[in-house]
Amino acid sequence: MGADGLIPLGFMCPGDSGVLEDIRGLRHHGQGGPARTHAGPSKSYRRGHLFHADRGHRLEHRLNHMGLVRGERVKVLKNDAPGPLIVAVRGTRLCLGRGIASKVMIRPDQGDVCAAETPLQES
Amino acid sequence: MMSESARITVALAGNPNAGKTTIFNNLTGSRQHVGNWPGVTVEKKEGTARHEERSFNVVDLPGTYSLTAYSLEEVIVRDFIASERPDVVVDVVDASNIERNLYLTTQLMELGVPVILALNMTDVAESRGVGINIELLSELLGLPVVGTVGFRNQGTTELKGSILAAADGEVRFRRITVNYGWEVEEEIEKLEAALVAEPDLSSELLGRYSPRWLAVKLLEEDERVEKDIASFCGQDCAAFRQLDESRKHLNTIYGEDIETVIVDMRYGFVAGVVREAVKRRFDEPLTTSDRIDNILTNRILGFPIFAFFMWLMFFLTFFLGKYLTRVIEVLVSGLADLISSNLTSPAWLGSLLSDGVVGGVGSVLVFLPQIFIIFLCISILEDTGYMARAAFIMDRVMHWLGLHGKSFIPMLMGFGCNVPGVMATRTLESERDRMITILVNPLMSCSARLPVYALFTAAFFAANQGIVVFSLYFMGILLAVLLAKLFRKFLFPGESEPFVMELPPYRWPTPKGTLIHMWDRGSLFLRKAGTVILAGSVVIWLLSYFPTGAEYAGSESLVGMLGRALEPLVKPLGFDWTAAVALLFGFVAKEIVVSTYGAILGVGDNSTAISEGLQGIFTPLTAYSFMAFTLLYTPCLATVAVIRRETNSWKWAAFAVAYSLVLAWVMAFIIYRVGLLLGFGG
Repeated sequence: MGADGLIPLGFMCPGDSGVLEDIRGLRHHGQGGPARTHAGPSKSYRRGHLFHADRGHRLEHRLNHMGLVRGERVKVLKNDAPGPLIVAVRGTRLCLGRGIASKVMIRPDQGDVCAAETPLQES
Repeated sequence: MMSESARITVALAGNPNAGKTTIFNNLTGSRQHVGNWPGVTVEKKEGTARHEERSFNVVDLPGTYSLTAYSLEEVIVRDFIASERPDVVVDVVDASNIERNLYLTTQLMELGVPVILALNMTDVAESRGVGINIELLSELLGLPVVGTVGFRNQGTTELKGSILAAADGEVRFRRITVNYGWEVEEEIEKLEAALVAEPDLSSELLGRYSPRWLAVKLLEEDERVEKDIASFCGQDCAAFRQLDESRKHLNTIYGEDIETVIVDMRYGFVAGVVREAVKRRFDEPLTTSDRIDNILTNRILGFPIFAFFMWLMFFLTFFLGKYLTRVIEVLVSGLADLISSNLTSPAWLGSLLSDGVVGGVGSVLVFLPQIFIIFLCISILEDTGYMARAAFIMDRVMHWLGLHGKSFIPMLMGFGCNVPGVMATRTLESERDRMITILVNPLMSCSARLPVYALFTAAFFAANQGIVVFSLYFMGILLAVLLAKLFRKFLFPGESEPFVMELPPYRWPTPKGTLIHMWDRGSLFLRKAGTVILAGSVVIWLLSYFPTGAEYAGSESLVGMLGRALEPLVKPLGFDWTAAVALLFGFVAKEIVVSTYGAILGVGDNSTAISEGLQGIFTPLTAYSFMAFTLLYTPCLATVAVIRRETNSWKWAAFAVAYSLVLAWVMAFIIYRVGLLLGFGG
């Protein structure tokens, strides 16, 4: 767990729940809140500012429309690495790839007993 | 009275997986037909509903989560509502997942059309401990709400009643709009004023959309609306100057882009409504669906179970299909006998009907059961919700290809037919993933190739038919995997888009819904048999019959001359001129390979006679390389057309044709030459 008390969704265990606080690395433009400036631009954004801004937009939109909004409660149902996670959000079940799951930051409800034990140390 | 009210048009909108199609089927019964939206390949379903001696049209709009300009489906929905002005829009809302579904509702309300909420799957919601106060919900949203359980056809009559009442103007809709907060509202007002003041906009755009809607969309940075407005008043008219000002102003206030603010406000509105009208348990309880998922997507069991379902699908297709095929075979050959015994003069007519039409079309028609079974299986996989799990399970494998699990669904559909397979790639958000998935889709052995395999394996590999057919499917998959990796590496490099997909709850498919689903797709083949294949068969017959005096389909006939002209191209693969002709015509539709041989051999649909004829032309080795060639070479005409439309590029359609032709030639060459070296020549 980081100093801010957030952990990536991908590190949570089945049964863990929490509140979605931030989705990192989506947008690198504008004056987003401090929480959003953690991740630097990744390698894939070579084509220039406009391209990645648009791409980040689209993605954030998609996530929003599927219910992944800041402040939303999420619960991990399945997390078998490698492979995608299954997460409960607003009564639906979403399947999230590992890449995006490492960017979705959660404030866990019940400490992070499980998260500290397992996948963090693997990497 | 019927004719007067028949003009009422109702549009069905809603999120994917909200049960829209079931509601559509309940409303219209079997009175429906499928077409495409003008200019695009998104399926458009229309039907007629009856209620108390009146009837009205129902249009099923594509399922969407929102009405942005980010996807084709969303643009179709909003364009339809804005320009066709349906009398009523029925918004199908999944009650068990109401917040997310209501987000779309807010946007439909903003379009300024009468909206009725069909609160669907109320049973599922109740079982999950979600209690919804329907009257209060209706009050808060200012529109009628009808509870339905689509899968049990509950609430359909009430829904029809509400639709007609709303269309007759007997229902008062309170125009409730989302309040975006006073700062945003102030800018919306300014923008509205600027838009209305724009002289060129008045008739066309403002006739369809309200100024408020346009203003909100402009703040949301909606590309389409920007483009539309620019086409009327240019890039730097007063409206755009106001827009820049408003954006700048709001940006300084909110410190983030306005689009997000607007989305947040809409969610805020929805959350407010839900807080009042919905009572739920705080905890996410484990549902039956989750328990099923614990087994079906289990880390260890998931894959074997999936493999079993795939095996079952092909088992049913081949083995059950074989018996049904025999029934049709008897019918078709009975028809051919009837024609040839009764129509002896003129001789050419008898030959045209029995050799050309019945021989050509009939030899393809006998495989219809197998085609329908495979579509039935695919429909069941989709309708139960298992298809999304298959994508989940296959994600690891697909990852290795640089794609993700969602790309697997179009591949699986490709086993039925590559046309829906290519169209199903539309759910992929990444353009690069989509291109790769489209390009390799034709390598998935579709059911139109089945007749070819069935015919050739029966003639040459009667003892190991199953293994040989399996090896061809496997070859297609293997090559698709290799090419996907190559394309990813050389044509579409870069990281793949994040993988997010909804897993709909498991459902019992309704027999009616699944059968309609199967019929929609399978009937394409029937139509194809009646049109393209019929025409192809007649052309081949003509080429075989003329010039007069030449032996029917002999080397002196037109078809023989054409074949011999092309023969040098396929000679290195061990094929003769008949193969050249069959493959040439097979480009139209791969089943035509079979009907060509039916016509060339002049034995009609009698499969034993075709088999014997083929044994004079092929050896087991060349038969196998011929099947491989048929599998791999150019996608059929319909698939090429759909690739062109979906990629919006002739270049990529031509690329798909070219690479597969080269691939087929090379693979057939390797199979033939290596086979000869290994002594399989006899």
